[in-house]
Amino acid sequence: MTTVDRSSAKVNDPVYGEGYQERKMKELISNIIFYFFVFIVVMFCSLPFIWAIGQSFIDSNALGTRHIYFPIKSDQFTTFNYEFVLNPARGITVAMLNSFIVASITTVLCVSIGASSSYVLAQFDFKLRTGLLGLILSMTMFPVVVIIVPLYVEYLFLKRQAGIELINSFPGVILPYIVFNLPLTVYLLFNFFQEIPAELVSAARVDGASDFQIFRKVILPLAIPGVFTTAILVFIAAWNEFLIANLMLQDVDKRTVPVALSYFQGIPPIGVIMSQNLARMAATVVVTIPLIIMVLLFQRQIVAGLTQGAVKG
Amino acid sequence: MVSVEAPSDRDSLMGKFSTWFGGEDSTGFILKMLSPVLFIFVVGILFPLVYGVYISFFTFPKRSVQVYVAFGNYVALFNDPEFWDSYVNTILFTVITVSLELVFGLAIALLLNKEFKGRGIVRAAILVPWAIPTIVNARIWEYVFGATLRSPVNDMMYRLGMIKDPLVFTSGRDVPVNVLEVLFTVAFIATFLASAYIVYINISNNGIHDLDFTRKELIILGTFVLSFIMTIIVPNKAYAASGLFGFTSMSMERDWIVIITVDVWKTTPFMALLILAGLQVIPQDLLKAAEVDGANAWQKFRNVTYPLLLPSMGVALLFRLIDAFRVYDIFAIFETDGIQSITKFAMDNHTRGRYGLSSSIAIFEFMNIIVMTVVVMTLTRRRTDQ
Repeated sequence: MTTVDRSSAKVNDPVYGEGYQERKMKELISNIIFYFFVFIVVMFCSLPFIWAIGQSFIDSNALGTRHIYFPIKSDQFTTFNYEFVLNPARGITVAMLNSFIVASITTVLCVSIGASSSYVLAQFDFKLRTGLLGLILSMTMFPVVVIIVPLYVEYLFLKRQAGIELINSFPGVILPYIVFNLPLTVYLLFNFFQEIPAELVSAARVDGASDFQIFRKVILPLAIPGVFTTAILVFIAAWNEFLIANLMLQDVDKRTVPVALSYFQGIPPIGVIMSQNLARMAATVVVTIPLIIMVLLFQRQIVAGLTQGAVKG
Repeated sequence: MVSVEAPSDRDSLMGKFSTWFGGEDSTGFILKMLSPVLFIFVVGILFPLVYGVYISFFTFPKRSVQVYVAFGNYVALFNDPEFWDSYVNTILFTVITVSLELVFGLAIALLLNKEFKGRGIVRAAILVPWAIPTIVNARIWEYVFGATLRSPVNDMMYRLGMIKDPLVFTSGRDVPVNVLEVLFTVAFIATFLASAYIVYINISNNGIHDLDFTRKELIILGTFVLSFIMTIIVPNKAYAASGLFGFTSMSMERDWIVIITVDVWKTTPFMALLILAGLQVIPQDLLKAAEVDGANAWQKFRNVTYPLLLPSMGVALLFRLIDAFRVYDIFAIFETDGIQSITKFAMDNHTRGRYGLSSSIAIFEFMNIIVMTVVVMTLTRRRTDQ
């Protein structure tokens, strides 16, 4: 009774006005349809991965001839797939360590090289400035093969002539990684450094600071958010890279995650029934977890970094 | 900035350097700061590029022996049907995936372009496909499209009565594709989404009681209903009927479906993010003004949003085109014997020790990308001038 009274009061209320109920209804329905679409988008993006997580917990002994959907029953549940994948003999854990080393070194080098050069390009005016910037940015266009094929032949030559082993070694991979991540790094940091007011630099100079001191003590602390965003993007790119790693790192103990995963067959030890796919799903989940955590923690920075290029063109 | 004229030693090399890199007292600093990037540029780009052109004129019968063949590699390349095959495949892949991503990305971006609760969740979800390595993505979809009833696609098709035996999507064999079925399914999905959107727009503009559809919208709604009915009826009979029309059943080279799915799933969200960023820059007053003038949703999009979106969409498109043209991972992971991308073809020749040939392929690919870049840039720039 009371609810009826209240709503009829609202219809006559000058604040809510006539047709309040209808407007309310209209809003509700359009909201429902809107969130239905949003739900589709979220499912489109995340369902395959969530499904893979689910599959990775299925006991292969419970696997019949048909597909097992959610929810997984308790007698079908197992963590054996993960024990299998995390066994060092499978090479996935080693690969994750390798990937971490390669990606970290690449990130540090790339960001420091990028920061020093883009600061100069952004804050100083000299003749070759635009040309140099254009040159670095045009490196985005380069297909990887154009660089990697001659680089490989160079490495072979170096090995033969000087005994320097660059194939199957991390430095040999890190050099091309830096090359291919440098354009993005310079572009992002260039935009960032440009926004730092020039008065700050000249004020520091009046105080008698040298150029290096200004860069280290004034500019870098200000640029930490931009550097951080760039570092995340470079790290993810280096972690995920496949072509160069597949060519250069063929030794079992040198493989990075994508290479190791491409060789991972999920063939079980004798006496254990296991579907190849279930073990593979466990492996994909293990390998992806660090990235997912990064994405969840730093989504704001990642989106900012990714979209900067598009908006400013 | 303090600018002290450089001393008059401009004829010496150091003097020239100082005019190129500033002609100020900061020249030394600038040079020192730029030296790492210049080093990387020379060692990592310039030298390999020149050396790549150089070795494309040689063959390597052994790893340490090289023989000069002039344009022999290029001649061999252009006479190789396998190369043209890979070239066509790459173009096909680029066109199909990029256009699909553009359409889906635009749709998602237009949907998400407003403030709503749970935006953070959506953004996190959108970043997931972008962040995970292609190999992971490919392994997941390989399982989804697996060749037994243990994998979901075949199982669902079996449950729906569309197939009796599991279809093989990733085995190197040709898959019979029923064109009618595919057409109806695509029409069903597309028109379903379109109809729901039309109803949504109508309700938010007119209210529930006086729905007012234009003729175009009614056609889409009708197509949805029709394709819904046809999708239910046709599949069971289409195989019998496919003999009647020669075109209804054709075979498709194996993993195209999987390959396209993998790439579209991975990069659509990225595309959506870029387009969304472009959308958010568009001033809202313009859209409001158009609304006051009585423009409907489509007219607002066509005459206000689209022209303003074009420059940023052009950038996103260019990135994606270049990236799709360079595709390697997907084709390598599925170990496709039948279909190769141009990069995969180059790398295969490389691992067989044909460094000269693979280098000439790489240079050919690079030329293509340069042409593509120039074309896309001029096209999008001309439009923005209008």
